[in-house]
Amino acid sequence: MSEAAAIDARHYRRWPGQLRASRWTWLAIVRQGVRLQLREHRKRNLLLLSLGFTVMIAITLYILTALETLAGTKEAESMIGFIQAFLRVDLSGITRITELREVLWRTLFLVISKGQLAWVLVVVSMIGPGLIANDIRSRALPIYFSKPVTPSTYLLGKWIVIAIFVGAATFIPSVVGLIIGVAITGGLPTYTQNLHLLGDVALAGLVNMLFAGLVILAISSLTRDQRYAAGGWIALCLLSIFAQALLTESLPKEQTAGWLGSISLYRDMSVVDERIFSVREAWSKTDLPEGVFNNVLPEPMNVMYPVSVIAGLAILGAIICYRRVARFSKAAASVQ
Amino acid sequence: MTADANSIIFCDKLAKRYGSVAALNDVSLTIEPGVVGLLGPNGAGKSTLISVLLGQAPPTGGQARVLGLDIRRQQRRIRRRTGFMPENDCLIPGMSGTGYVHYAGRLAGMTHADAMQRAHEVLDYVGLEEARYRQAEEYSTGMKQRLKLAQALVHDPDLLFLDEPTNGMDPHGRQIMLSLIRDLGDAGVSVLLSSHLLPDVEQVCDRVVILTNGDLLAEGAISEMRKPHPTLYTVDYLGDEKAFTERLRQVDVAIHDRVTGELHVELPAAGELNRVLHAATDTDTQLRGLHPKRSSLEEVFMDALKRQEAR
Repeated sequence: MSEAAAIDARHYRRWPGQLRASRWTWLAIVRQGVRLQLREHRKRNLLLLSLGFTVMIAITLYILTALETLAGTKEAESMIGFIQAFLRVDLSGITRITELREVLWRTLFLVISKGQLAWVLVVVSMIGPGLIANDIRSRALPIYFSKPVTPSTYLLGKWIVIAIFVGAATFIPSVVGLIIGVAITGGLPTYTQNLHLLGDVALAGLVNMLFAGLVILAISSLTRDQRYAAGGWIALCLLSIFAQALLTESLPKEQTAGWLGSISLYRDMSVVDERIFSVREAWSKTDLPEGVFNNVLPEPMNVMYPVSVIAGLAILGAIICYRRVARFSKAAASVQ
Repeated sequence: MTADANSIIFCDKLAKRYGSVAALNDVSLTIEPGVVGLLGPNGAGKSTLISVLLGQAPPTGGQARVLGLDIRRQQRRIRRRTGFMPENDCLIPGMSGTGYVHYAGRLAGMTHADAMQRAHEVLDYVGLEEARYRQAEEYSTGMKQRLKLAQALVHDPDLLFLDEPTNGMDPHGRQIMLSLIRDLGDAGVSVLLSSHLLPDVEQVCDRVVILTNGDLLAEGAISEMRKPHPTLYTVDYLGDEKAFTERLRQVDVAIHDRVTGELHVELPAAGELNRVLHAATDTDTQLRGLHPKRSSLEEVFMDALKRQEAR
């Protein structure tokens, strides 16, 4: 029987089922987006590598706990040397390490979050650029917008995909590290003393997800080639750092304490993270000399500047990607 | 103008402008259930009409209802009950045929299990059962077209918008696609078929809507639009072919084509059928049928365009 004849012999059957409410369609976009990303080995490996932060946290917390136990002994001195190198703070003369537990843990998570900021640059440059650009290139948008999917639903689904990966690379390793740390040190006091870190880590992760997610979606919506989107994202981040370095070198310190000091996105995020983990405030409550923590903390500045830059870019990103996607959705039937 | 309760599409002075360009000019029409062709040259407003009816592009004037739903306020409900097959490739890279149709079902609001079951069902229906697990990028043009039809059908819409469904297909694939469209119409799924290929439209559609420059040029049943030709006739006969054709030529009836028992003839002037009747009598030929040739859809389309140009 020929193919045409075989098809002639078939008859369409109506489907008696019921469709769900269309408010859940973003979930389908998320599932599909995550599944497509995880098909690639290098992206799975990226997530595995993120667990390196967990290992770093666990080892450092183990050493800090050991220090508390061994306080005053020679073994403790060599361990302090390791921590000084890792946290880049001057801990010479510290003998009351148990009393400094909270501030040291805060500092550890700030250092980790600064490392994660650089890691987010890599993760986002691998996961985010194709999220919208690939749909534009493959002309898949009419498939979305001929179904009960609105631009907002579409963008929500795409944002959650990138947020999941940013969260998996930052928030989850930190939380797992924290849980391991609490398990190592043992006991309810450690848990209650550092419970706030869970909220701080979540907040820092959320800031990363919002900022990086919205900015990469905006860049991705501006091109049909994901390589350009990846290049745009990396250029935005690195150029802002170089421009900041240039300004800092060439201008007096007072001038770079305001807007001109908020050009580097990395620095802006670091300032926000420092404020979230309240490290400077925690150190100032100790009787250690001022300046001990200078290597770890960003230059003191009014947090409103970096917050404004980050929030402004995130809002601009949201507007750009919404307008682009809404434009495509209005012409979905005639997208060429 | 009020919407007929049975109509699948109702437009009342529907207008859509892009800046100073009018893509749709006060289009008023009512389309009953069935397979309907949407014809028009490039830039006629066909894709804009589909976009507006799907609730994707808001109209700049007038009103319209699709399946009784308002296109301004009930876009999502319209899209739950309609399916759209775009003209261009719209495959998502990295997905198999099943994955793609399943995803379309999920976007339409189906549960995972329903979407998966239905994806297999519609892929069987369109004849892609053997290729369902292959990457969709590897499909041939004909298979891609059928895959696009499958994604439009997965949630069982009441109305399908098909944009150039036979584009780029070989004759065999085209026949497969047309037979599927015909079957969908028989199964109670209404179809609005936008196509440049008039023979395709003629083959599967009951009615046509002709647009040009955003204006509605003509609309109606194809059978009514195809007017009988005044001088061209098909003659079914039984008798001596040689004698009969010879006699017809003698009375100035031109013979354009012949197959056994059938002649396509042209009379010298309208209303001169007697010449054929006399020729049959003279040669003892039995006439079994004498039908005026009807104009093709292409002729209807070209006439409509000429009338518009003459205005």
